[in-house]
Amino acid sequence: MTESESPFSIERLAHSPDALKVFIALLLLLCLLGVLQFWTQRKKGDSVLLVGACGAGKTTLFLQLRDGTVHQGTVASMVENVDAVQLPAEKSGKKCSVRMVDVPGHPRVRSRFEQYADRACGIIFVVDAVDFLPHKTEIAEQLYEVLTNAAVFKRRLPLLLACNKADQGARAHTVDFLRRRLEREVEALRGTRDTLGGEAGGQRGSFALARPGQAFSFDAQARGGGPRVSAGALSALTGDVTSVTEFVRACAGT
Amino acid sequence: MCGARKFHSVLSDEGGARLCVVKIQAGACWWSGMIDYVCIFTKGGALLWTWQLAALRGLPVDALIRTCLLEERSGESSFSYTPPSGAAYTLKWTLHNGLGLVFVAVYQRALKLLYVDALLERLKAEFAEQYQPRVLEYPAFADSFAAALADAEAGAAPSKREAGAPGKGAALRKAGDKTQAGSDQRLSGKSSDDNGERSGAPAHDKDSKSGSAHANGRALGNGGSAANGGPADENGGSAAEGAFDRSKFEKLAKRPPAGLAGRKGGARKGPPGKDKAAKGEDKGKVGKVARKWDSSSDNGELDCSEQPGGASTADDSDGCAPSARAPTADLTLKSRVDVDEDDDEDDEEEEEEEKEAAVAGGQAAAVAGASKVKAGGGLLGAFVRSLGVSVVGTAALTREDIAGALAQLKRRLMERNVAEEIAEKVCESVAVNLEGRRLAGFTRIGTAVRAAVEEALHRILTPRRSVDILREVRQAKARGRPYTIVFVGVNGVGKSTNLAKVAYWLLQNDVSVMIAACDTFRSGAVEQLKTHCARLGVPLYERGYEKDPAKVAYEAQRAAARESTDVLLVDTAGRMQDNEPLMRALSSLIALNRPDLVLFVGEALVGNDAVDQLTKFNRRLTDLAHDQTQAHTIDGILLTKFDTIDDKVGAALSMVYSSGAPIMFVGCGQTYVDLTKLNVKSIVRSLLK
Ligand SMILES: Nc1nc2c(ncn2[C@@H]2O[C@H](COP(=O)(O)OP(=O)(O)OP(=O)(O)O)[C@@H](O)[C@H]2O)c(=O)[nH]1
Ligand SMILES: [Mg+2]
Repeated sequence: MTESESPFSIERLAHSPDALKVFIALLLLLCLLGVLQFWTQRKKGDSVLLVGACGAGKTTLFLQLRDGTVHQGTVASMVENVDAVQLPAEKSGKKCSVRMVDVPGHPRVRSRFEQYADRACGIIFVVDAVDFLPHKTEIAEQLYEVLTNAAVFKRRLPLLLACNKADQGARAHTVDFLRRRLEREVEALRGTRDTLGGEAGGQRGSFALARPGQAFSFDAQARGGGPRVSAGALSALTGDVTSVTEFVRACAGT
Repeated sequence: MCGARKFHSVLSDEGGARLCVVKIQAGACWWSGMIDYVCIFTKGGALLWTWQLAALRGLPVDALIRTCLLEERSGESSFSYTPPSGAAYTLKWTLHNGLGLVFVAVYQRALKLLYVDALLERLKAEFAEQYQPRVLEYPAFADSFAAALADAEAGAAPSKREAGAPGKGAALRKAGDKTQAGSDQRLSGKSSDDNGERSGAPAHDKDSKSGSAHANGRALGNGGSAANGGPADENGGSAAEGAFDRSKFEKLAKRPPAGLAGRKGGARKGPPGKDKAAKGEDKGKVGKVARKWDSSSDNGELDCSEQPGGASTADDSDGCAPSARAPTADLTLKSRVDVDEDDDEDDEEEEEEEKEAAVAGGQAAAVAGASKVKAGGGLLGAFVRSLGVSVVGTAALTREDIAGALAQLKRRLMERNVAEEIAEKVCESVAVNLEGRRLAGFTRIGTAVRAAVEEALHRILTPRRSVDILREVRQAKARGRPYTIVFVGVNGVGKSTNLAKVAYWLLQNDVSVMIAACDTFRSGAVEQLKTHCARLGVPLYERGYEKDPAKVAYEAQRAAARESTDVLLVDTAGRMQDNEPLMRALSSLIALNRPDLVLFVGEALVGNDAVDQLTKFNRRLTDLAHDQTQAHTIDGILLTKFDTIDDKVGAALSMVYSSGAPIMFVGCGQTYVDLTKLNVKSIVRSLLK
């Protein structure tokens, strides 16, 4: 039906009850489809979020994934980068496209991550494996906030601990080390965060990352119904990012 | 490019001030290459184009973004960065909000380069034409840049001597004069209405518009700024076509290189802008008068009134004598810090406010629109703008469009007791971030401005540093030493009272507490603390009044360690920020005892003085420290008497903005439980209500 003839057709419709019924049924069906689409979309999500501290290499990774090169490098981000990213075809020949969101790591803007969490299907938490120890508490805090975010926790979104800058050789900490240290730091946070209330701890306290009396570990919280955390090393700068592409494929596929 | 760069500085005395005049000796051309580094990047953080003369030391651009652009300070005119080694840099920048681009130039701070702003504006104008959203490489831009830089430096060469002039304003005026002179030569007939007010005066028809733009471009090129005749010629013809082009030239001419941009921004845009700015100022004054506080009556209420619940506090300023009764505090009551306060009040009023703002925005736009009917927007555009509604495809926002709504919001902030200086800076930063942006279809300008201000306020108030004291206490405990918090502030703000509230909150979270009475100055201070300690069942460390507070704190720390107490709360004497001897004493107390946290206690009632208090405290603590790089400044803020101020919550914003420290606690009543965390959302709501 085109625009111009619609007044006529409506008139005609009004005269023939059968056509009216069909019309209404069609309308209803359309509405239903729309709602269904919206619902499934919302539930599954179509975005992979890049989060992490300032300077972890999120934007570098974003460019690397999108363009296959980091161009001339990056500076600290002020706003999010949002774009569709095509992952190169696998051996199986399946192409994979996701919406990638690179959320700035600056403390003043990192909470904008929450706006994207609803549409997320996976989260890549980028950690600078070289410059880790001086900032470990801050990083753990951010990880804690991500893990206890309602949209992340309730939907058990997969989270990849992306240990970046592996090209730095011995200067970069190992994946295992980072994983264990972060586990320990999150555990230390757990006790105090819940008592804080107000804005800082806020509405998050309601998600227990581990049963009371139990030490926090990524595995335990996954078993207990929380987000599923995996870890992998990569180098965003040199383009050695297979751990990430695999993760993204898994997120978009399921 | 040619020649090694060689310069020497000559120190001369001129008008009492020591000035640094830089002479340049270069080979055949005037190229001096004084700018070390120029880069263009997206707000998302991807570099698009860089040019560098000398390798940069440190990461000045990242520092600029993190400590200036993201901290709502983009309204400032320059940023100073001290690299880990070597001399300091100055950074200048300009934003293209329509395309989301940032242009930054870095040069040695010792050089006072005047052409940088104009150069950046020109780069912005030229780069905007080449820019395509998904393309991240622009090798071809190097040519345009080389030309622009050569022009800028050639233009700057004759006026090198003025480079040392103290006020940038002076230099600006000079550039202005030359602009006028240049236009006079070329367009003698038309220049009179163009240059008096510069750039904002309505042009009468397309020809004159492009003509004057052309004139400006040339004149600036001659007169010590960057734009040169060549490229400007081509662009001049298209000036009337689109927003970029138009604003490009307006900005070329009007953006002053210095802080003037902020303060006088409105005034230098020609008659309409000027009117509005004046109006804004008037209103600002009204706000100021209305903001007078009768603080004495408020103090009265805070007297040491005994609450039926038994949990009562005494006011600091009154120096209550120790009461014989002193019932112990009921530790079962939950401190309000630990109670989640839901704030789901509806934003009904907001609608109305928005309308109001929109009307203001509309008026502003109407004025702006009217002045531009012929100038490029077209009649329809002007009409649409006059409604304060942006339609898809309308031109980018200009300063004039947002000035009205912004002035109104600034006035509102000041009515809410935000220090004038801070309101000014925040609004300027918002303006810089909005200018040139294209609004989504059918958005009211007022709404957009309001949303931008709201976001900015939110960002400012969100703590940068985590405020998890309990965790830090645990860490200190693991290291086997007491966590020390020093409470500082001016007289009569409620230091001791709120110290007691913090103690109460800590006790509730199973942390053992000791209090040290280091107010050895005001009589009655120790007794007041004794009362609190008795009620709370907390040990007090005191040595009477004669002792040096730094020593008392030191001994208290030893005692707390001996008794393996988790937290030591140190009460200090109230002191005015200008009291040199007392500030020195405080500085030595902090240097000697290395507290984990220096908490500034401030009244929510203060207005403009909030900024002064905090900056002076911080400055004195830095200046008086033995080792200035190790100086321990204020880590956090405790805002008191929050229950007495209704919606005048401006002090929260002023304090956070001027110190960079987060508000860790808010004291909001007279009992021990009346201590909460700052609720950023509700503060922002009250500020804009
Ligand atoms: N050696 C090495 N350096 C890297 C790698 N990835 C990123 N970097 C560097 O790390 C710095 C920061 O990278 P960004 O991508 O801008 O960091 P970001 O996480 O986006 O930071 P924000 O935007 O501030 O949150 C840049 O100088 C990169 O060159 C890597 O894999 N190896
Ligand atoms: Mg980034």
